[in-house]
Order: sequence, then C-alpha cells, then structure tokens
Amino acid sequence: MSSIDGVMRRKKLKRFWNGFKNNRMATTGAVILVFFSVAAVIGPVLFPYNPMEFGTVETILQPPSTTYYLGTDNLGRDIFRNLLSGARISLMVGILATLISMFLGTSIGIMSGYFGKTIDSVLMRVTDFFLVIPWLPLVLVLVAILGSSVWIIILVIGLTSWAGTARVVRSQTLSVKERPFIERARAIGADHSTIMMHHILPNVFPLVFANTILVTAVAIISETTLSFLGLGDPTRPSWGMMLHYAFQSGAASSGAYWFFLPPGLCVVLVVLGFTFLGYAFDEILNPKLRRR
Amino acid sequence: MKRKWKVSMVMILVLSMMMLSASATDAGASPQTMRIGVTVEVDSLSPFISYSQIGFEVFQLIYDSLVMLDENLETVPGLARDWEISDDELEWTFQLRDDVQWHDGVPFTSADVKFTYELLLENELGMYSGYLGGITEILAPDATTVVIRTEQPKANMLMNACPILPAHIWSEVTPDEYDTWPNSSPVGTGPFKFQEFRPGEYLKLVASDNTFHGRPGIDELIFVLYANTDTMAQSVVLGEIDAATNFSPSQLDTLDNNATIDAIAAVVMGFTQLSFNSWDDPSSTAHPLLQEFPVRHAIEYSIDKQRILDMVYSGQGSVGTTLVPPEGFYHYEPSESELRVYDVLRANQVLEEAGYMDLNGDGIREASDGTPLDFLLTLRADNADEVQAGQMIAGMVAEAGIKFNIETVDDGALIDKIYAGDFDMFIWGWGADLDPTTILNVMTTTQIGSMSDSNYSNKTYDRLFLEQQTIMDPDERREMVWEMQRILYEEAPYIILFYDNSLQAVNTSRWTGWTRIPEEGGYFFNLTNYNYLHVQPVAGVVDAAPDAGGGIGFAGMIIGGLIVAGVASFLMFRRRK
Repeated sequence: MSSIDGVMRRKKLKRFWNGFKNNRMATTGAVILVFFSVAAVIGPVLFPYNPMEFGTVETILQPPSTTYYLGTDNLGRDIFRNLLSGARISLMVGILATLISMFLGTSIGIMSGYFGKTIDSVLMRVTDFFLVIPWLPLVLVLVAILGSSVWIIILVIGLTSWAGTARVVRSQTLSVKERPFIERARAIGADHSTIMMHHILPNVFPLVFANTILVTAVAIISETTLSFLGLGDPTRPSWGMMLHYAFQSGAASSGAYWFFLPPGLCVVLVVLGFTFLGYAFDEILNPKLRRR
Repeated sequence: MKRKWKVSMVMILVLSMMMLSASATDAGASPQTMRIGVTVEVDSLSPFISYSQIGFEVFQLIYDSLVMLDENLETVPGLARDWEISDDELEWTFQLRDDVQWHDGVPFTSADVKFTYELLLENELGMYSGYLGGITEILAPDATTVVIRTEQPKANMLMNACPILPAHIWSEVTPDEYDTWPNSSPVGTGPFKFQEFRPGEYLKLVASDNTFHGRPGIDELIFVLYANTDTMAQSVVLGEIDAATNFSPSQLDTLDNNATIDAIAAVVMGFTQLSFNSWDDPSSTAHPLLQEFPVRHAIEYSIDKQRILDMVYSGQGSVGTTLVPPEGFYHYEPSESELRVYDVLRANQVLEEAGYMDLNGDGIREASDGTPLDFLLTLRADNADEVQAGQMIAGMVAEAGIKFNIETVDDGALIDKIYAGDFDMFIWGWGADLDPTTILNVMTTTQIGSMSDSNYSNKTYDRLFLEQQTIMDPDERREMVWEMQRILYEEAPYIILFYDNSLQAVNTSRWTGWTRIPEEGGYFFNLTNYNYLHVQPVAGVVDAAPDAGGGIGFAGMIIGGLIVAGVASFLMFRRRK
C-alpha cells in the first residue's frame, strides 16, 4: 500500500516538476523570488542597517556613488542597506500574514464545505461579510485603533484576507467529499476530524498552495499601502515606509529618484514574482487549466 | 415598481444637472478670489471647541473682538472704539461702535459682549476662555457701553483676542450643548462672512459689505486643504492658489526661485515640544521614572536639537529652551549654569549620579529596583517631520542608555490618550500669543482635562500664574513670568525642542500689498487679520484658476451629461427589447 502510495506521489511530483520547468511564468517568478529571498536573508548580514543611525547635513539626499550604492535618504541613511532590511520586513510581513490567512481560509472553507447546512450558511455569511467589506477603510481603522506595530499589521492583513481562499476551498471540498473514498473512510468509522485532516485536506492542498502564493502578493501590497499611508511601523523600515518618507519629504519634486525608485521597483518585482508563481501553480496543479 | 424606479432615476439626473449648471453660472461676476493652501483644516467652527491655529485665523476673519492688533502688533480699536480704566485699575469702560451689524442684519450691542464673556467665564470652554481670567463682572449699562470689573488689576485686558459672538444665535443653544454644538454656519461681525465649509476640501468666506473695517480687496477667500505639500507647492507655481502655508523646507528654494512668488521662512510665536506625562497623583498611569527630574534632564542633554533641526527641518527654526518663545518681551533665557545643551557625557553623568546603572548589561540603564529606563514615545502618523524627529531622538537617547520605543497614531487617537492620561511622552507643538498668559495657562493645574497636555501641576506656578495677570507694570510682571519659566525649565514637563519657523509663500503678481508682521514674521498666522484686509488685486490680472468654490463646474457638466446619455440609451435599449 505504502509503496504504491510512494510511487504515486513520486509520479505526481515528477509531473509537477515537468510542468513547472516548462512554464515560463513559473520559472521567471521563481528566479525573482529566489533572488529577493537570498537578498533578504544574506543582505542585512553583509550590509547591516540601523534605522536609528542618521547621517549629517552633508550626507542628506546624496545621489548614488561608490560609498552609497543607491544614494542616501533625507536623513542621510544609506538607501541600499535600507532596501535590504526592507526586503526582510516586507517578505516577512507578506509570508506571516499569508500563513494566518491560509490557516483561516482553509479551515473555514473545509468545515463549511464538509459539514454543510447551518454551519455552511453561518460560515459563508461571515465570509461574504469579509468579501464585500471595503478592505482599505477597515484596515485603516483597525491599524489606527490597535497601533502600528509590525505584528499588528501582520495580524490585521491576515485576518482580513482569508475570505477568497475560504470560498475556493469550500467549493473544492464540496466536490471532494462526494467521492467514494470519503464514503469508504466514513464506513470504516473515521471521525470528522480524521476525514477532514487526512482525506480532504491533501486533496484541496494544491489549490490552497496556488491560492496562498497569490495571497502573499496581496499581503505585500497591503503592507506597502499601509506603510505608504503612514500607518506602518516606524521602527522597521519596510519598502512601504521608504516610499512614505520619500513622498513626505518631496523627493519626487526635488528629483531624488534614487529615494523612491528602488523601493518602488522592488515592490513591483516581488509582487510580480508571487503573482507569476501563483498563476503558474494554478495552471500546473489545476487539471482544467492545464494546456495540452 | 420598475417604471417608477426609471422615472425617479431620470428625475434625479435631470435635477442634478440643473443644480450643476446653476452652481456653474453663479460664479459669473468674476469676483476677486484669493485661495490659500493650508495643510490643516479647522477642527471646529465653534470657538468653544476649536483649539487650532487655523481656527484662530478663521475666527478673526468672521468675528471681531473688542480690541485688535495692527501691523505693528499694537492694540487698536475693534468693536470698541474707545476705552478707559478707572484710577484703582479695577474697572474698564469700553465704548462700542454703534453702527455695527451682524452678518444677518441684527444690530450689534453691548448685550452681545456681556453674553459672550459671561458664557466663556461660566463654562471655561475653548482656547479663548484664558483671555478672560480675573474678570468678575460684566455690565452693559447701555447699548454702546460695556463695563468690565476685575478683582485685581488685569494686565492683559487689551490683549484680548476673544471673538464676540451673537447673543441672538447662541442664546438658543442650551448650556449643556456648548461643548458639542457645531456652529456650522457662523454669523459674526467681521470683515468676512462664512459661506461654506467642506471638511477635507475647503473653507470659503466672502467679503462683507457691512463691516467697520471697510470692504476688503478680497471678494472671496478660500482656504484650500492640501494633504501633500508637494502638490500644494506645485499649485502655487501653477497659479492655482495664491498663497501657501506650512509647505516643507525642501520646497522653499524651488518656490523662491520663481519671480512672481515670494516664499519666506517666517518667525512665528510657537514651538515644538517633547511632552512628558507628569500626572503624579496615586491613581496615575504615568511612568514613575519619568517623574524624576534627572531622567528628564538626561533626556534633554542627550538630544542634539540643532542636528534634528538641520536634518529634518532643513535648518528652519531655532533651538528651544523655555515656554515663552523668544520673539516676545516675556521670554526667559536660562542662564549658562541652568542651560542644558547637547552633551552626551553630561547625560550619562546625570543618570549615574542619580543612581541609574546598566546592571544587566543590555545597554539600557535601570533604576535601583531594576526598572529599566524604557519609555514609549507617541508620534502623530500624519506629521512626517515629527515622526522623523522622534526617530532621531530615539537614536540619540540610546547613547545615554535610555530606550525610547516608538508608536505612531492618528492625531485624534493621541488626543484621546492625552485626556485619558495614558501616555509616556509625545511630540507636537503650540502657538503662542504676544501676551504670555495663554501659553502659561497650558501648564496650570486647572487646565488638566482641557488644555493641559502634560498633566503638569505645581502650586507655586499656579499662584504665580494668577498673580502675574494682575501686575500692570510690564517689567515687574516679566520678573514673575521669568520665574514661572524657570520653574518649568527646572522641572521639565516639556522639553522645548525648537521654536518653529512658518514657511509661507504668496503670489505677488496677482495680489499686492503683502506685509510681514512683525518684520521677520509671516503673512498669515501672525495674530492679526491685517493682510486679509489690506492686500489688493493687481489691476488687469484675470483670475486664471478654476473656481474651487463653485466646485464641479465644466467637468461636472460633462460627466453629468455622459451619465444622462448613458442611462437614456440604456432605457431606450430596454424598451426596444
């Protein structure tokens, strides 16, 4: 049994890998993300950055040079180093918020689809509520009330972005639970949690995975939006905070392109990377979308 | 049902089209409109609720006070044309003008003055109640005479900027509504009539024909709110607005390079401070270590104010010391032995002498009971300069072994925290008057829960505060005000970081006659309404800017037309089916 299982799994993985390496979107996305992940992990070690260390009047808004690879900001801080630390924070916020969102979305989706009836109605109305509520005002209010620490921002983004995942997972659960092997599991006396954890979850997981990657892109954009609007964590210089300070100090009109261009491009690239990867996974894992 | 919906939909569209075109045409007579870009809008149109500088500015245009300040900051007649003081200095008699009318046509009389002053004295509301301290009785023997009695001589009687409100309107408000009634359409006697306030957009005033000031050269005055100073600076350059206030220092040169724009860094009576929660009764939630003067002193020693000023504010402003800004007569400059200038070694020394050591080697000093010098600095998220100054300060105090954590909150959330006493410290600023009473009042015990933002209380200070108002001899009074500032400097409930400059720009090609008040001061926010009354349009220059007041105008008509066309074709299609 287990050997057949293993063969099946290996076969599946192989098919996945073939699909992956032949998909240009997937490889582009992966290259971008690997690049930024490495930068985020190693960068701050090689080029440590202390946001509490400021330059002098002479080092304010210096254009890129050999001392400052990407110039300095309006308080004389090195933008290149800031960018590397920012990568760490932006990615961390994106991934942690997504984990929260994925956990909520998956469990609510599976429970809703599996139990049906009243539980389904209640959970789906809650989901609808989160789907239709204007996202930005809600998050602005939450952050304004709860304060702007990075952990609160992660929590707020996680708690407000799971509804889409829940919907997708629910519909997949509805189809999975009608399959004979679920009935078989029930017949041999498996309880609800076993069925959900061991039989339904593995079958909806590919979908969750693809969805998660897309949610990460949204979470990073969300963090950038909040920070740009001045609600970010001032002690952690994310890319959004850099853009915020650049905007506030009038970098655009004074021509200090090196202040706002690098963080802006980084956000675009990382979000693009996640989006490419997300769509590609969706295409590879979802048989209906697979190109023949 | 369906049919009804269609009909009403069309009706609404037609009606809105009519309204749009109506508002577009009534701007026809081409009035001389001055638009001033501002970054903060009025917090309330009620003088009992507003505490803001822009509120003060707007109220002195809509309302009048008994006396006012001229371009030399000297007291000149306002609603009172003449006044005299009794020999015992306890009774003031004001002769009022007899030809003044409220904007709604009701004649102004001494009853209005009596009503306003009594209301403020009884309720102690808003930023103006401080002007009236010491007044015991207000009499109105006839329609043009007001007699004000005080228990002790009142030194700042003629520095009274308190607006006189119409009794016939405010008497209809019940007393428990004074602190909530919005006064959404103010009626005054001032040179400008209120026309419209759109929160988040603009506030529009129009010149009053019926004012003792004489008709202003400005027909319409619009304060346009800008969320971003870059956009505001661009708007001045493009001529979309005629003046701008509070743009950021980096835009000063760009603006000043323009031949038709005069951009200035004006010295204003105001400061930016780091305010500590000094609440010291047993129920206090304030940080106990922040009540220790050596800790406050060490914080001040470790802050390099000049460097922050240079880096965050492009050098605009000057390093701060005591509560009353240096432009006035009453500023106290600490002696060399009192003065705390930036000196990290000294900061560390002060803390060491007071027994704060880093016992566990984490870089943060602890008190003898192990409590670390670890505080929360609250900053206003929408003020990028203050946020950056706060970050620099956090970096600087770390050198003395003090940890500042930073949180940024919304302006309103900070005010809530202050009223609840739930904060360690924060940064913001105050604007002061020529007379020191209002700014000194902020630190008195009676203001806790209203103007006080530090919960500071000191009996000696309170006594001196009441006393200084009664000293008619300026030099003698100054001694007392100096002593008060000395107490504050020693106990440091505030660390005055900077005396602010206000950056202002005006377009000289469209308006002429701008006067800086005082000489190094500003065109606006200078405690007078002089420029609003005296600038004149340059002859022959046509107002090029789109009408911010009429609003939607041409673009609105096009959009409205498109919507009507769209809905009409949609309905036609449906019918054909």
